[in-house]
Amino acid sequence: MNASLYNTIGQWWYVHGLPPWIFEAAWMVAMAALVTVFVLLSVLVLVWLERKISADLQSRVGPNRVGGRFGPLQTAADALKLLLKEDIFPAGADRVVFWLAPFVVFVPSLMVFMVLPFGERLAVNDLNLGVLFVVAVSAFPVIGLIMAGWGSNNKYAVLGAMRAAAQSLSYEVPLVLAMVCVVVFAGSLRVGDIVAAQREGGWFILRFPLQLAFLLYFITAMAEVNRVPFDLPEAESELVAGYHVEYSGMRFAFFFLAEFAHLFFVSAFCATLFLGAWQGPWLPPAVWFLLKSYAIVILIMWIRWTVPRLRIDQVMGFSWKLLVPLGLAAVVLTGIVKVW
Amino acid sequence: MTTGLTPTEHITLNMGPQHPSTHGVLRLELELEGEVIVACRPIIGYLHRGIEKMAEARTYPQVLPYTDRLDYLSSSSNNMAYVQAVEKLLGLEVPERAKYLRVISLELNRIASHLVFLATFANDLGATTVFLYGMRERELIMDLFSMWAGARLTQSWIRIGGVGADIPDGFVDQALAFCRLMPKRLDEYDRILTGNRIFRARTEGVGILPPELGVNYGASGPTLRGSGVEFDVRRAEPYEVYGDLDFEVVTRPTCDCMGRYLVRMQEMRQSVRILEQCLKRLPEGEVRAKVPRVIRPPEGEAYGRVESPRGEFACYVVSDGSPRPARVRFRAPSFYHLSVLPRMLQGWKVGDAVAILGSIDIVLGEVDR
Amino acid sequence: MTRTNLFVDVVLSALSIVKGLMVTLTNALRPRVTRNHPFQKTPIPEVWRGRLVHLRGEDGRLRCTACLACQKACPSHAIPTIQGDDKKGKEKRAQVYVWDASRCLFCGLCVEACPFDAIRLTREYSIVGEDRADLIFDLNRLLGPAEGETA
Ligand code: SF4
Ligand code: SF4
Repeated sequence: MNASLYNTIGQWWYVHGLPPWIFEAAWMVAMAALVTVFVLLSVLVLVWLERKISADLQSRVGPNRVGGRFGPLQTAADALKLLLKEDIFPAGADRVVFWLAPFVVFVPSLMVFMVLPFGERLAVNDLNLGVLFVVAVSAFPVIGLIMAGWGSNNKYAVLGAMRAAAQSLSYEVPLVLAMVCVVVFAGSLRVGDIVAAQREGGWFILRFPLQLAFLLYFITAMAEVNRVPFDLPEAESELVAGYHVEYSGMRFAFFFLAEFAHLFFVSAFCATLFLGAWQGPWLPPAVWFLLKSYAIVILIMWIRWTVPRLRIDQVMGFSWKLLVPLGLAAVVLTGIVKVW
Repeated sequence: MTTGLTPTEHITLNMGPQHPSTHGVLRLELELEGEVIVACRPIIGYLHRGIEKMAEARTYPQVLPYTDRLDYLSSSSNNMAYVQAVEKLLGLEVPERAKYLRVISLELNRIASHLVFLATFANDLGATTVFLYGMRERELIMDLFSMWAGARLTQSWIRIGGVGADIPDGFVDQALAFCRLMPKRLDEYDRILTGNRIFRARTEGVGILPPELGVNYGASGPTLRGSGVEFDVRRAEPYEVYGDLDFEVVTRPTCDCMGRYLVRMQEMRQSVRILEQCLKRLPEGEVRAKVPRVIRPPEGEAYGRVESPRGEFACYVVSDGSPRPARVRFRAPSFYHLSVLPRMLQGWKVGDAVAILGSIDIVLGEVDR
Repeated sequence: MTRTNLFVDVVLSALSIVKGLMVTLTNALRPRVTRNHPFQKTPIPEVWRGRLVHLRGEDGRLRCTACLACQKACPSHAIPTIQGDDKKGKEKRAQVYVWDASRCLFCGLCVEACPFDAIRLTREYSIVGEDRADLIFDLNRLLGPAEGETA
């Protein structure tokens, strides 16, 4: 549908002899606006889902008041509450850094959605270096976390920020290795090509050495979004709240938003890389895309509400001693299979 | 530029008094080198209410409700220690049925307290869901207590001379149903937590308490039994009907967080065993001996000791022949465990601090009194 | 650790986590244990030690004879004032009786001490007020149902 819409309008544009770049740009802006709205809405849904799932797993009822029996508007109510909260600058905080940090965290976690295809032609801009772009941009929020930790003038926040930096650096490596496997298989860094490669030969998760890459991606993705067992940077029972311990109101909401947007992104990207993206029979592509992404999201949440958390040195050891060697092995194996 | 290493600076981190993992209002002054704990200074007293002093201004029965507020997770053991001391002073003989009911109350409270331990310990390690499972099962015990004593935590139902009232109809059945359910739920905890690789990585070999150190510092209860020392007041100096009951004193030789955790998990199973025996053997009869309205024990002193879920809880009462005790002193096991904590924390990381603190299962109510 | 051991360890770890996931799943399928609190009341047993009430006899008069036994029994001085009328003995009735909920331990010693069975702790557990004075109950606010009526 989107592809045909794109084609229809594009043709009309072309027939009337208008410069094509304006159309391209307008399409991109429209998509970007759409994606932003979509991401913000999905965060609302995700937060609600997280509460509902945790409640289910814990024999509780969960949200049940705001907006009807299952409390669908609970998150909206909470967002409103956060909006109305006082905006506190802690004494001794580095005001500029403290002020800037939420944006530095939030903007990149929205930016990564740029290359994500929600359906055919339904990506803001399918860069030809898409995967690289994702790797580069999703590493960016760490700077924001360190800024938040440092700017807060709070020891817990600094500890949390240091953990965040260490963890995200060490998990970036196996994450990239997992993606490299996919890239080797698809033969392109463009996300669209990766999707196309899965159309021909079936989902990547079903092709021999890529299961390993999927596993690696899944584990590191959990670490990237700081979920239990890798929620060290915010480890509530150790560091109270980690890097955002001093934040309140809307500024806190930005961290929250970024976290859930990122969670959705890694799940959606997982679906894109391994589960055939938006492709599937009968249902429209966007629905398939959402189904697959949410399946991964739910799996991550389910794990998050089941297992305890690791200790910081164990987290690092796990990455460097197990995941990185595994990742290297996966890359080599993928290469061999590909060349075969 | 100067050569050589830049000297690292230690950070002092105040953990508490408002911190999710200090189990009450405890403040730990941690000196950190990065994440590693170099020194720890527990600072107590935030919950001091002067209960020992208050007791001197109360009559003997009036002291009882205050003992509930010591170790608020197992008020029966506190009641028991105090009542035991007073009964020794009075030379009072308690009816057989009351003795059984006391043991039922004590063991129910032990399970409830260990469930809170399980819940908070799991929560400290990040397994939030187990927290709610523990609390869910504890609620069944709270239901039993509220139908018997009319209160959940502060029951003060072990009274001088017996218990507050006889158990209501249906109590035995409900308690037996609980006894049947509990082992299944314990298996479930084992599946989700005990066997979990992450949980094991966090607890095995962490926070070693050598048996000699534990004994020297006066540790007791599961904390000491987790270091392989077989000491249990219920066995060493049986009170009430513990002498006739068939149960095991659980020990673990590993001296680590896992050992202490496993001791408590096993103890819950033993408590269920004790409960079943008591509920089945429960004799008929009175539940309260005749006690004069104004209790005036003869001059003297007495020491009552019980095995609380945390360790040896004891109470020392001095009487000067008046209706008010001249001195009441409580031996709170958590206090001793807190004093070995700095030794156990050294060299571990901040993440371990909460695990080790959780594994000695302190209650600040009895530390600060 | 040898290589095979590492492999076994990884597999067992994964299995242990899957086991945990199964436990949470089975619990998700069980009925919920929490209640929708203010709308769905939790049953409170009859013997609950909550708010204090004064009982009345068949004649509708207070049973309390202002004998002060409860005041003496109270460990935390939660019954600061009791005053009776000028009648004597069993005919005497309380005119003033103050119970301070903010001091009360809900221990029930007062109820046990009362020789006339005149007071009781009820199932009412939620005692709230806008300031401290709201938690100090005088006789008007302590009146329970007369004999025969149910609470
Ligand atoms: S319940 Fe206890 S504290 Fe409350 S008024 Fe009665 S005796 Fe006093
Ligand atoms: S309530 Fe009972 S004990 Fe208290 S003054 Fe009245 S009659 Fe006496």
